[in-house]
Amino acid sequence: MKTANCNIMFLALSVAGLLFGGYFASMEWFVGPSYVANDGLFWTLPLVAYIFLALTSTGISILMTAGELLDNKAVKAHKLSLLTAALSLLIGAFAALATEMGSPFHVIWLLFSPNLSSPIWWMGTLYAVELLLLGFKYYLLLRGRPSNSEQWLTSAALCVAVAAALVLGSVFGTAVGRTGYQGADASVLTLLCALASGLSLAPLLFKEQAREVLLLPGRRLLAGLAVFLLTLYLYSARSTVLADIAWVQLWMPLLLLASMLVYKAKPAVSALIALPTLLLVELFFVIQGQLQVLGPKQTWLGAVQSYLPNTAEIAILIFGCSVAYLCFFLFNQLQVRLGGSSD
Amino acid sequence: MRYGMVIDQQKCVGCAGCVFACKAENHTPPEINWCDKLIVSSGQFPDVRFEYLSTMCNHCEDAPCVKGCPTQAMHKSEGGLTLHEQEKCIGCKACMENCPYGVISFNWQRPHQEWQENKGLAAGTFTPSAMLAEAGGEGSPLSNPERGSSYPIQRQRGVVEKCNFCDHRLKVGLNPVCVDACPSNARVVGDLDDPNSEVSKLIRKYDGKPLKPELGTGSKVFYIRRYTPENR
Repeated sequence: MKTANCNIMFLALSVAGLLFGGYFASMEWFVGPSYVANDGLFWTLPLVAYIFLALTSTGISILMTAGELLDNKAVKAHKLSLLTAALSLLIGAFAALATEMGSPFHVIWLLFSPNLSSPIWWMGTLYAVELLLLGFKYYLLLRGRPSNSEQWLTSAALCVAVAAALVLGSVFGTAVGRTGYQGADASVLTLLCALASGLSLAPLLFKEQAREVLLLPGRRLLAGLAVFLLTLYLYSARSTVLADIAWVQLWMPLLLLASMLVYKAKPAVSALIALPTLLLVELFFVIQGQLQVLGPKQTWLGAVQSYLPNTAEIAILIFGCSVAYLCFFLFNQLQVRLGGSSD
Repeated sequence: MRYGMVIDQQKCVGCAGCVFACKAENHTPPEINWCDKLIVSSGQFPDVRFEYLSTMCNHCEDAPCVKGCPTQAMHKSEGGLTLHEQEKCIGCKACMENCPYGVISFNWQRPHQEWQENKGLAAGTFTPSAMLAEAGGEGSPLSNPERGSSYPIQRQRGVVEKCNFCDHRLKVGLNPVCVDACPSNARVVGDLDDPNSEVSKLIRKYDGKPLKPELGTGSKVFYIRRYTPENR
Protein backbone atom coordinates (compact mmCIF):
# COMPACT_ATOMS: atom_id res chain seq x y z
CA MET A 1 0.00 0.00 0.00
CA LYS A 2 2.85 2.31 0.97
CA THR A 3 4.73 1.50 -2.24
CA ALA A 4 1.59 2.06 -4.32
CA ASN A 5 1.09 5.50 -2.73
CA CYS A 6 4.72 6.33 -3.30
CA ASN A 7 4.44 5.30 -6.97
CA ILE A 8 1.35 7.47 -7.46
CA MET A 9 3.09 10.42 -5.82
CA PHE A 10 6.17 10.00 -8.05
CA LEU A 11 3.95 9.63 -11.10
CA ALA A 12 2.00 12.79 -10.25
CA LEU A 13 5.24 14.70 -9.63
CA SER A 14 6.67 13.48 -12.93
CA VAL A 15 3.60 14.52 -14.89
CA ALA A 16 3.75 17.95 -13.21
CA GLY A 17 7.49 18.11 -13.97
CA LEU A 18 6.87 17.16 -17.57
CA LEU A 19 4.32 19.94 -17.98
CA PHE A 20 6.43 22.51 -16.13
CA GLY A 21 9.65 21.60 -17.97
CA GLY A 22 7.82 21.02 -21.24
CA TYR A 23 6.56 24.61 -21.15
CA PHE A 24 10.11 25.97 -20.91
CA ALA A 25 11.39 23.44 -23.47
CA SER A 26 8.79 24.58 -26.01
CA MET A 27 9.59 28.23 -25.19
CA GLU A 28 13.24 27.50 -25.94
CA TRP A 29 12.41 25.68 -29.19
CA PHE A 30 9.75 27.93 -30.62
CA VAL A 31 9.86 31.36 -28.96
CA GLY A 32 13.29 32.49 -27.88
CA PRO A 33 16.16 31.98 -25.47
CA SER A 34 15.19 31.65 -21.83
CA TYR A 35 18.43 30.38 -20.31
CA VAL A 36 21.07 32.49 -18.51
CA ALA A 37 23.54 31.75 -21.27
CA ASN A 38 25.67 34.11 -23.33
CA ASP A 39 28.66 34.00 -25.67
CA GLY A 40 31.02 33.55 -22.73
CA LEU A 41 29.00 31.06 -20.70
CA PHE A 42 27.09 28.88 -23.11
CA TRP A 43 26.98 25.39 -21.59
CA THR A 44 24.76 25.65 -18.54
CA LEU A 45 22.44 23.53 -16.38
CA PRO A 46 20.36 22.03 -19.24
CA LEU A 47 23.52 20.48 -20.68
CA VAL A 48 24.61 19.37 -17.21
CA ALA A 49 21.18 17.70 -16.84
CA TYR A 50 22.05 15.70 -19.97
CA ILE A 51 25.49 14.82 -18.59
CA PHE A 52 24.06 13.75 -15.23
CA LEU A 53 21.29 11.57 -16.68
CA ALA A 54 23.54 10.08 -19.36
CA LEU A 55 26.27 9.25 -16.84
CA THR A 56 23.79 7.69 -14.41
CA SER A 57 22.42 5.58 -17.26
CA THR A 58 25.97 4.62 -18.22
CA GLY A 59 26.76 3.58 -14.64
CA ILE A 60 23.71 1.33 -14.53
CA SER A 61 24.51 -0.11 -17.97
CA ILE A 62 28.05 -0.90 -16.87
CA LEU A 63 26.79 -2.58 -13.69
CA MET A 64 24.22 -4.60 -15.61
CA THR A 65 26.46 -5.70 -18.48
CA ALA A 66 29.50 -6.40 -16.30
CA GLY A 67 27.35 -8.40 -13.85
CA GLU A 68 25.87 -10.36 -16.74
CA LEU A 69 29.23 -11.12 -18.29
CA LEU A 70 30.63 -12.15 -14.91
CA ASP A 71 27.57 -14.35 -14.40
CA ASN A 72 26.51 -12.64 -11.19
CA LYS A 73 23.18 -14.16 -10.14
CA ALA A 74 21.88 -11.15 -8.19
CA VAL A 75 22.56 -8.75 -11.07
CA LYS A 76 21.08 -11.16 -13.61
CA ALA A 77 17.93 -11.48 -11.47
CA HIS A 78 17.45 -7.70 -11.68
CA LYS A 79 18.45 -7.37 -15.31
CA LEU A 80 15.07 -6.11 -16.47
CA SER A 81 14.88 -3.41 -13.81
CA LEU A 82 18.43 -2.25 -14.51
CA LEU A 83 17.87 -2.28 -18.26
CA THR A 84 14.62 -0.34 -17.92
CA ALA A 85 16.30 2.26 -15.70
CA ALA A 86 19.33 2.64 -18.00
CA LEU A 87 17.11 3.02 -21.06
CA SER A 88 14.73 5.50 -19.36
CA LEU A 89 17.56 7.65 -18.01
CA LEU A 90 19.17 7.81 -21.43
CA ILE A 91 15.88 8.89 -23.02
CA GLY A 92 15.58 11.57 -20.31
CA ALA A 93 19.15 12.66 -21.07
CA PHE A 94 18.40 13.04 -24.78
CA ALA A 95 15.23 15.00 -23.95
CA ALA A 96 17.30 17.50 -21.92
CA LEU A 97 19.96 17.65 -24.65
CA ALA A 98 17.36 18.36 -27.34
CA THR A 99 16.32 21.54 -25.52
CA GLU A 100 19.94 22.63 -25.19
CA MET A 101 20.60 22.24 -28.91
CA GLY A 102 17.65 24.31 -30.02
CA SER A 103 15.92 21.54 -31.93
CA PRO A 104 15.38 17.80 -31.39
CA PHE A 105 16.38 17.22 -35.04
CA HIS A 106 19.85 18.60 -34.42
CA VAL A 107 20.64 15.57 -32.26
CA ILE A 108 19.81 13.28 -35.19
CA TRP A 109 21.59 15.40 -37.81
CA LEU A 110 24.79 15.15 -35.76
CA LEU A 111 25.05 11.42 -36.52
CA PHE A 112 24.93 11.80 -40.28
CA SER A 113 27.70 14.32 -40.91
CA PRO A 114 30.62 12.84 -39.04
CA ASN A 115 33.81 14.60 -38.06
CA LEU A 116 35.91 11.88 -36.52
CA SER A 117 38.25 14.34 -34.82
CA SER A 118 35.40 15.86 -32.83
CA PRO A 119 34.81 14.47 -29.30
CA ILE A 120 31.22 15.77 -29.44
CA TRP A 121 30.51 13.65 -32.50
CA TRP A 122 31.85 10.59 -30.70
CA MET A 123 29.83 11.44 -27.61
CA GLY A 124 26.59 11.82 -29.58
CA THR A 125 27.23 8.73 -31.66
CA LEU A 126 28.28 6.49 -28.78
CA TYR A 127 25.24 7.45 -26.73
CA ALA A 128 22.97 6.94 -29.74
CA VAL A 129 24.50 3.49 -30.29
CA GLU A 130 24.10 2.77 -26.56
CA LEU A 131 20.42 3.73 -26.80
CA LEU A 132 19.93 1.36 -29.74
CA LEU A 133 21.79 -1.49 -28.04
CA LEU A 134 19.82 -1.09 -24.82
CA GLY A 135 16.59 -0.78 -26.78
CA PHE A 136 17.31 -3.95 -28.73
CA LYS A 137 18.31 -5.80 -25.56
CA TYR A 138 15.10 -4.67 -23.91
CA TYR A 139 13.05 -5.83 -26.88
CA LEU A 140 14.66 -9.29 -26.79
CA LEU A 141 14.15 -9.54 -23.04
CA LEU A 142 10.54 -8.41 -23.22
CA ARG A 143 9.73 -10.84 -25.99
CA GLY A 144 11.41 -13.59 -24.01
CA ARG A 145 13.41 -14.55 -27.06
CA PRO A 146 16.80 -15.87 -26.01
CA SER A 147 19.20 -14.87 -28.73
CA ASN A 148 22.59 -16.26 -29.67
CA SER A 149 23.79 -12.74 -30.09
CA GLU A 150 22.94 -11.75 -26.50
CA GLN A 151 26.49 -12.26 -25.23
CA TRP A 152 27.78 -10.13 -28.09
CA LEU A 153 25.13 -7.51 -27.44
CA THR A 154 26.02 -7.33 -23.73
CA SER A 155 29.76 -7.05 -24.45
CA ALA A 156 29.10 -4.33 -27.04
CA ALA A 157 26.85 -2.40 -24.64
CA LEU A 158 29.55 -2.56 -21.94
CA CYS A 159 32.30 -1.35 -24.31
CA VAL A 160 30.12 1.46 -25.68
CA ALA A 161 29.05 2.55 -22.17
CA VAL A 162 32.65 2.78 -20.93
CA ALA A 163 33.79 4.57 -24.10
CA ALA A 164 30.85 7.01 -23.94
CA ALA A 165 31.62 7.99 -20.34
CA LEU A 166 35.30 8.51 -21.20
CA VAL A 167 34.50 10.58 -24.30
CA LEU A 168 32.09 12.73 -22.32
CA GLY A 169 35.05 13.69 -20.15
CA SER A 170 37.14 14.63 -23.16
CA VAL A 171 34.35 16.92 -24.42
CA PHE A 172 33.94 18.81 -21.17
CA GLY A 173 37.61 18.64 -20.19
CA THR A 174 38.09 21.41 -22.73
CA ALA A 175 35.76 23.58 -20.64
CA VAL A 176 37.65 23.08 -17.42
CA GLY A 177 40.99 23.40 -19.19
CA ARG A 178 40.09 26.60 -21.01
CA THR A 179 42.06 28.90 -18.79
CA GLY A 180 44.58 26.71 -17.02
CA TYR A 181 45.26 24.38 -19.96
CA GLN A 182 44.73 21.30 -17.86
CA GLY A 183 41.95 18.75 -17.78
CA ALA A 184 43.55 15.45 -18.71
CA ASP A 185 41.86 13.90 -15.69
CA ALA A 186 38.39 14.81 -16.99
CA SER A 187 37.71 11.43 -18.59
CA VAL A 188 38.62 9.60 -15.39
CA LEU A 189 36.27 11.92 -13.50
CA THR A 190 33.30 11.28 -15.81
CA LEU A 191 33.84 7.51 -15.73
CA LEU A 192 34.00 7.55 -11.92
CA CYS A 193 30.92 9.80 -11.75
CA ALA A 194 29.04 7.37 -14.03
CA LEU A 195 29.93 4.38 -11.88
CA ALA A 196 29.22 6.20 -8.61
CA SER A 197 25.82 7.49 -9.74
CA GLY A 198 24.89 4.12 -11.22
CA LEU A 199 25.84 2.30 -8.05
CA SER A 200 24.05 4.87 -5.88
CA LEU A 201 20.81 4.34 -7.74
CA ALA A 202 21.14 0.56 -8.15
CA PRO A 203 20.19 -0.45 -4.55
CA LEU A 204 16.79 1.17 -5.11
CA LEU A 205 16.26 -1.13 -8.10
CA PHE A 206 17.30 -4.26 -6.21
CA LYS A 207 15.26 -6.32 -3.74
CA GLU A 208 16.49 -5.77 -0.19
CA GLN A 209 17.91 -9.27 0.24
CA ALA A 210 19.90 -9.00 -2.99
CA ARG A 211 21.64 -5.69 -2.20
CA GLU A 212 24.60 -7.38 -0.54
CA VAL A 213 26.28 -7.80 -3.90
CA LEU A 214 26.39 -4.01 -4.43
CA LEU A 215 28.00 -3.17 -1.10
CA LEU A 216 31.66 -3.67 -1.96
CA PRO A 217 31.67 -2.03 -5.44
CA GLY A 218 29.29 0.73 -4.30
CA ARG A 219 31.33 1.74 -1.28
CA ARG A 220 34.64 1.43 -3.14
CA LEU A 221 33.40 3.59 -5.98
CA LEU A 222 32.05 6.34 -3.72
CA ALA A 223 35.26 6.29 -1.68
CA GLY A 224 37.38 6.18 -4.86
CA LEU A 225 35.61 9.22 -6.31
CA ALA A 226 35.90 11.06 -2.97
CA VAL A 227 39.67 10.39 -2.92
CA PHE A 228 39.95 11.48 -6.55
CA LEU A 229 38.11 14.75 -5.84
CA LEU A 230 40.14 15.33 -2.70
CA THR A 231 43.35 14.88 -4.71
CA LEU A 232 42.09 17.39 -7.29
CA TYR A 233 41.15 19.77 -4.48
CA LEU A 234 44.59 19.55 -2.88
CA TYR A 235 46.27 19.92 -6.27
CA SER A 236 44.17 23.03 -7.03
CA ALA A 237 44.81 24.47 -3.58
CA ARG A 238 48.54 24.27 -4.29
CA SER A 239 48.16 25.73 -7.78
CA THR A 240 50.16 28.85 -8.47
CA VAL A 241 47.99 29.89 -11.43
CA LEU A 242 45.72 32.61 -10.09
CA ALA A 243 43.41 32.61 -13.10
CA ASP A 244 42.70 28.93 -12.71
CA ILE A 245 40.13 29.00 -9.94
CA ALA A 246 39.50 25.50 -8.63
CA TRP A 247 36.17 23.93 -9.48
CA VAL A 248 36.44 21.23 -6.82
CA GLN A 249 35.10 22.18 -3.42
CA LEU A 250 35.91 20.39 -0.19
CA TRP A 251 32.27 19.56 0.57
CA MET A 252 32.06 17.37 -2.54
CA PRO A 253 34.29 14.48 -1.34
CA LEU A 254 32.94 14.88 2.20
CA LEU A 255 29.33 14.40 1.07
CA LEU A 256 30.34 11.40 -1.02
CA LEU A 257 32.01 9.88 2.04
CA ALA A 258 28.84 10.53 4.06
CA SER A 259 26.81 8.80 1.38
CA MET A 260 29.22 5.87 1.47
CA LEU A 261 28.77 5.51 5.24
CA VAL A 262 24.98 5.01 4.98
CA TYR A 263 25.15 2.99 1.75
CA LYS A 264 24.30 -0.28 3.50
CA ALA A 265 21.89 0.84 6.21
CA LYS A 266 19.96 3.54 4.34
CA PRO A 267 20.44 3.15 0.57
CA ALA A 268 17.69 5.68 -0.20
CA VAL A 269 19.36 8.31 2.01
CA SER A 270 22.71 7.44 0.47
CA ALA A 271 21.28 7.99 -3.02
CA LEU A 272 19.64 11.24 -1.86
CA ILE A 273 23.06 12.52 -0.78
CA ALA A 274 25.16 11.08 -3.58
CA LEU A 275 23.05 11.90 -6.65
CA PRO A 276 22.58 15.66 -5.99
CA THR A 277 26.27 15.86 -5.01
CA LEU A 278 27.25 14.22 -8.29
CA LEU A 279 24.97 16.59 -10.20
CA LEU A 280 26.69 19.53 -8.51
CA VAL A 281 30.15 18.04 -9.15
CA GLU A 282 29.27 17.84 -12.86
CA LEU A 283 27.77 21.35 -12.81
CA PHE A 284 30.85 22.92 -11.22
CA PHE A 285 33.09 20.92 -13.56
CA VAL A 286 31.34 22.25 -16.68
CA ILE A 287 30.75 25.82 -15.51
CA GLN A 288 34.01 26.86 -13.85
CA GLY A 289 36.17 27.08 -16.98
CA GLN A 290 33.54 29.16 -18.76
CA LEU A 291 33.38 31.80 -16.04
CA GLN A 292 36.59 33.29 -17.44
CA VAL A 293 35.56 35.11 -20.61
CA LEU A 294 37.99 34.89 -23.51
CA GLY A 295 38.93 37.39 -26.19
CA PRO A 296 36.96 40.45 -27.21
CA LYS A 297 33.85 39.24 -25.41
CA GLN A 298 35.55 40.42 -22.21
CA THR A 299 34.73 43.94 -23.37
CA TRP A 300 31.02 43.17 -23.35
CA LEU A 301 30.64 40.53 -20.64
CA GLY A 302 33.48 41.35 -18.26
CA ALA A 303 36.59 39.28 -17.64
CA VAL A 304 34.88 36.98 -15.14
CA GLN A 305 31.22 36.01 -14.89
CA SER A 306 29.15 34.36 -12.20
CA TYR A 307 26.47 31.75 -12.69
CA LEU A 308 23.23 30.87 -10.97
CA PRO A 309 20.69 28.80 -12.91
CA ASN A 310 17.32 30.45 -13.61
CA THR A 311 13.84 28.91 -13.47
CA ALA A 312 13.91 27.82 -17.13
CA GLU A 313 17.18 25.94 -16.66
CA ILE A 314 15.99 24.24 -13.47
CA ALA A 315 12.78 23.34 -15.33
CA ILE A 316 14.84 21.54 -18.00
CA LEU A 317 16.59 19.48 -15.33
CA ILE A 318 13.14 18.60 -13.94
CA PHE A 319 11.94 17.90 -17.50
CA GLY A 320 14.77 15.42 -18.15
CA CYS A 321 14.22 13.64 -14.81
CA SER A 322 10.45 13.54 -15.37
CA VAL A 323 10.84 12.09 -18.87
CA ALA A 324 13.17 9.45 -17.42
CA TYR A 325 10.76 8.53 -14.60
CA LEU A 326 7.73 8.43 -16.91
CA CYS A 327 9.58 6.20 -19.37
CA PHE A 328 10.56 3.93 -16.46
CA PHE A 329 6.93 3.79 -15.36
CA LEU A 330 5.60 3.14 -18.88
CA PHE A 331 8.18 0.44 -19.57
CA ASN A 332 7.19 -1.26 -16.32
CA GLN A 333 3.50 -1.09 -17.30
CA LEU A 334 4.39 -2.60 -20.65
CA GLN A 335 6.21 -5.43 -18.95
CA VAL A 336 3.22 -6.13 -16.69
CA ARG A 337 0.85 -6.12 -19.68
CA LEU A 338 3.02 -8.48 -21.64
CA GLY A 339 3.00 -10.81 -18.67
CA GLY A 340 6.64 -10.29 -17.73
CA SER A 341 7.86 -9.32 -14.32
CA SER A 342 8.86 -5.79 -13.48
CA ASP A 343 11.27 -7.19 -10.84
CA MET B 1 48.15 30.29 -51.28
CA ARG B 2 47.49 31.04 -47.60
CA TYR B 3 45.72 34.26 -46.74
CA GLY B 4 47.11 36.12 -43.78
CA MET B 5 46.78 39.55 -42.23
CA VAL B 6 49.14 41.91 -40.51
CA ILE B 7 47.93 44.56 -38.07
CA ASP B 8 50.37 47.35 -37.34
CA GLN B 9 49.71 48.37 -33.76
CA GLN B 10 51.54 51.68 -34.09
CA LYS B 11 49.35 52.68 -37.03
CA CYS B 12 46.08 51.53 -35.47
CA VAL B 13 44.40 54.47 -33.77
CA GLY B 14 41.56 52.45 -32.22
CA CYS B 15 38.85 54.23 -34.22
CA ALA B 16 36.81 51.01 -34.65
CA GLY B 17 36.31 51.81 -38.33
CA CYS B 18 37.06 48.16 -39.09
CA VAL B 19 34.34 47.06 -36.66
CA PHE B 20 31.67 49.21 -38.30
CA ALA B 21 32.75 48.45 -41.86
CA CYS B 22 32.59 44.72 -41.06
CA LYS B 23 29.16 45.12 -39.54
CA ALA B 24 27.81 46.86 -42.64
CA GLU B 25 29.47 44.48 -45.10
CA ASN B 26 28.53 41.26 -43.35
CA HIS B 27 25.15 42.26 -41.95
CA THR B 28 25.95 41.09 -38.44
CA PRO B 29 23.23 41.60 -35.82
CA PRO B 30 23.76 44.40 -33.28
CA GLU B 31 25.00 42.03 -30.57
CA ILE B 32 27.53 40.22 -32.78
CA ASN B 33 30.85 41.61 -34.03
CA TRP B 34 32.96 39.51 -36.37
CA CYS B 35 35.65 42.16 -36.14
CA ASP B 36 36.03 43.33 -32.56
CA LYS B 37 38.47 44.80 -30.12
CA LEU B 38 40.36 43.64 -27.09
CA ILE B 39 41.37 46.26 -24.58
CA VAL B 40 44.37 45.19 -22.58
CA SER B 41 45.67 47.13 -19.62
CA SER B 42 48.62 45.76 -17.71
CA GLY B 43 51.43 46.68 -15.36
CA GLN B 44 51.43 48.56 -12.08
CA PHE B 45 51.22 52.28 -11.54
CA PRO B 46 53.14 54.29 -12.65
CA ASP B 47 54.40 51.78 -15.20
CA VAL B 48 51.04 50.91 -16.77
CA ARG B 49 50.25 49.95 -20.34
CA PHE B 50 47.05 50.23 -22.32
CA GLU B 51 46.64 48.48 -25.63
CA TYR B 52 43.81 48.38 -28.12
CA LEU B 53 43.97 45.14 -30.08
CA SER B 54 41.73 44.70 -33.06
CA THR B 55 40.66 41.05 -33.20
CA MET B 56 38.77 38.71 -35.47
CA CYS B 57 38.89 35.05 -36.47
CA ASN B 58 42.55 34.11 -36.84
CA HIS B 59 41.87 31.46 -39.52
CA CYS B 60 44.21 29.11 -37.69
CA GLU B 61 46.17 26.52 -39.66
CA ASP B 62 45.38 23.88 -37.06
CA ALA B 63 42.00 25.32 -36.14
CA PRO B 64 40.59 23.98 -32.82
CA CYS B 65 37.07 24.99 -33.91
CA VAL B 66 37.34 22.81 -37.04
CA LYS B 67 38.59 19.87 -34.99
CA GLY B 68 35.81 20.26 -32.46
CA CYS B 69 32.88 20.74 -34.85
CA PRO B 70 30.94 17.46 -34.91
CA THR B 71 29.22 18.10 -38.23
CA GLN B 72 32.01 19.67 -40.31
CA ALA B 73 30.03 22.90 -40.43
CA MET B 74 33.26 24.67 -39.47
CA HIS B 75 35.78 23.70 -42.11
CA LYS B 76 38.99 24.71 -43.83
CA SER B 77 38.63 26.12 -47.31
CA GLU B 78 40.63 27.54 -50.21
CA GLY B 79 43.42 29.85 -49.21
CA GLY B 80 43.49 28.35 -45.72
CA LEU B 81 40.35 30.20 -44.67
CA THR B 82 38.26 28.78 -41.84
CA LEU B 83 34.67 28.99 -43.02
CA HIS B 84 31.33 28.09 -41.55
CA GLU B 85 28.41 26.36 -43.26
CA GLN B 86 25.25 27.47 -41.54
CA GLU B 87 23.08 24.63 -42.89
CA LYS B 88 25.27 22.02 -41.20
CA CYS B 89 25.51 23.82 -37.85
CA ILE B 90 23.58 22.13 -35.04
CA GLY B 91 24.27 24.84 -32.45
CA CYS B 92 26.29 22.63 -30.10
CA LYS B 93 28.79 25.49 -29.48
CA ALA B 94 31.80 23.15 -29.49
CA CYS B 95 33.63 25.61 -31.77
CA MET B 96 33.05 28.42 -29.27
CA GLU B 97 34.36 26.24 -26.49
CA ASN B 98 37.42 25.22 -28.46
CA CYS B 99 38.34 28.65 -29.83
CA PRO B 100 41.04 30.07 -27.54
CA TYR B 101 40.51 33.56 -28.95
CA GLY B 102 36.80 33.91 -28.15
CA VAL B 103 35.88 35.20 -31.60
CA ILE B 104 32.94 32.94 -32.48
CA SER B 105 29.46 34.20 -31.64
CA PHE B 106 26.13 32.45 -31.27
CA ASN B 107 22.77 33.66 -32.53
CA TRP B 108 20.76 33.30 -29.34
CA GLN B 109 17.89 35.22 -30.96
CA ARG B 110 16.71 35.46 -34.53
CA PRO B 111 19.20 37.97 -36.03
CA HIS B 112 17.78 41.42 -36.75
CA GLN B 113 14.45 40.50 -35.18
CA GLU B 114 14.00 44.13 -34.19
CA TRP B 115 13.11 44.75 -37.85
CA GLN B 116 10.11 42.47 -37.55
CA GLU B 117 8.42 44.72 -34.99
CA ASN B 118 5.16 46.31 -35.88
CA LYS B 119 5.31 49.25 -33.52
CA GLY B 120 6.59 52.68 -34.47
CA LEU B 121 8.16 55.23 -32.14
CA ALA B 122 5.05 57.43 -32.39
CA ALA B 123 1.68 57.19 -34.07
CA GLY B 124 1.91 57.75 -37.80
CA THR B 125 5.63 56.97 -38.05
CA PHE B 126 7.17 54.08 -39.89
CA THR B 127 7.27 50.80 -38.02
CA PRO B 128 10.44 48.70 -38.44
CA SER B 129 8.58 46.06 -40.45
CA ALA B 130 6.99 48.72 -42.69
CA MET B 131 10.40 50.28 -43.19
CA LEU B 132 11.81 46.89 -44.16
CA ALA B 133 8.96 46.31 -46.61
CA GLU B 134 9.49 49.77 -48.11
CA ALA B 135 13.27 49.73 -48.33
CA GLY B 136 13.67 46.05 -49.16
CA GLY B 137 16.52 43.89 -47.91
CA GLU B 138 16.85 40.52 -46.31
CA GLY B 139 16.27 40.60 -42.58
CA SER B 140 16.98 44.32 -42.35
CA PRO B 141 17.22 47.24 -44.78
CA LEU B 142 20.95 47.28 -44.02
CA SER B 143 21.60 43.89 -45.62
CA ASN B 144 24.29 43.66 -48.26
CA PRO B 145 23.33 41.55 -51.29
CA GLU B 146 26.99 40.98 -52.20
CA ARG B 147 27.48 39.12 -48.93
CA GLY B 148 24.95 36.57 -50.10
CA SER B 149 27.23 35.18 -52.81
CA SER B 150 29.00 32.87 -50.35
CA TYR B 151 27.15 33.06 -47.02
CA PRO B 152 23.52 33.61 -46.02
CA ILE B 153 22.80 37.34 -45.66
CA GLN B 154 20.28 36.60 -42.93
CA ARG B 155 21.51 33.95 -40.52
CA GLN B 156 19.24 31.63 -38.50
CA ARG B 157 18.65 31.52 -34.80
CA GLY B 158 20.62 28.77 -33.02
CA VAL B 159 23.76 28.75 -35.16
CA VAL B 160 27.19 30.31 -34.72
CA GLU B 161 28.85 32.86 -36.97
CA LYS B 162 32.28 34.43 -37.30
CA CYS B 163 34.64 36.36 -39.59
CA ASN B 164 35.38 34.70 -42.92
CA PHE B 165 37.96 37.23 -44.12
CA CYS B 166 35.28 38.59 -46.49
CA ASP B 167 35.72 35.55 -48.71
CA HIS B 168 33.18 37.00 -51.17
CA ARG B 169 35.46 40.01 -51.68
CA LEU B 170 38.68 37.98 -51.84
CA LYS B 171 37.11 35.91 -54.64
CA VAL B 172 36.75 38.99 -56.84
CA GLY B 173 40.19 40.35 -56.02
CA LEU B 174 39.17 42.84 -53.33
CA ASN B 175 40.56 43.17 -49.83
CA PRO B 176 38.50 42.26 -46.77
CA VAL B 177 36.41 45.32 -45.96
CA CYS B 178 38.20 45.97 -42.63
CA VAL B 179 41.46 46.41 -44.56
CA ASP B 180 39.96 48.92 -46.99
CA ALA B 181 38.09 50.78 -44.27
CA CYS B 182 41.12 51.37 -42.05
CA PRO B 183 41.94 55.09 -42.23
CA SER B 184 45.56 54.61 -41.20
CA ASN B 185 46.36 51.56 -43.34
CA ALA B 186 47.12 49.57 -40.23
CA ARG B 187 45.88 46.36 -41.84
CA VAL B 188 47.49 44.52 -44.71
CA VAL B 189 46.22 41.28 -46.24
CA GLY B 190 48.14 38.96 -48.53
CA ASP B 191 49.66 35.58 -49.26
CA LEU B 192 51.76 34.16 -46.45
CA ASP B 193 53.24 31.58 -48.84
CA ASP B 194 54.72 34.30 -51.05
CA PRO B 195 57.94 35.58 -49.44
CA ASN B 196 57.66 38.76 -51.50
CA SER B 197 54.12 39.65 -50.45
CA GLU B 198 53.76 42.70 -48.23
CA VAL B 199 52.45 40.65 -45.32
CA SER B 200 55.45 38.29 -45.44
CA LYS B 201 57.86 41.23 -45.61
CA LEU B 202 56.20 43.01 -42.68
CA ILE B 203 56.18 39.87 -40.55
CA ARG B 204 59.86 39.31 -41.30
CA LYS B 205 60.86 42.94 -40.78
CA TYR B 206 59.05 43.46 -37.49
CA ASP B 207 59.04 39.89 -36.20
CA GLY B 208 55.24 39.70 -36.33
CA LYS B 209 53.55 37.49 -33.77
CA PRO B 210 50.02 36.12 -33.61
CA LEU B 211 47.95 36.13 -30.41
CA LYS B 212 48.71 33.25 -28.01
CA PRO B 213 51.50 31.77 -30.17
CA GLU B 214 52.25 29.26 -27.41
CA LEU B 215 49.06 27.34 -28.32
CA GLY B 216 50.45 26.35 -31.71
CA THR B 217 47.19 26.92 -33.54
CA GLY B 218 48.98 28.45 -36.54
CA SER B 219 47.01 31.67 -36.30
CA LYS B 220 47.26 33.74 -39.51
CA VAL B 221 46.61 37.20 -38.09
CA PHE B 222 49.93 38.74 -37.08
CA TYR B 223 50.52 41.82 -34.95
CA ILE B 224 53.56 43.99 -35.49
CA ARG B 225 55.05 46.88 -33.54
CA ARG B 226 52.99 46.23 -30.42
CA TYR B 227 53.40 48.64 -27.53
CA THR B 228 55.65 46.34 -25.63
CA PRO B 229 58.71 47.77 -23.83
CA GLU B 230 61.05 46.44 -26.53
CA ASN B 231 59.11 48.27 -29.25
CA ARG B 232 59.13 51.67 -27.57
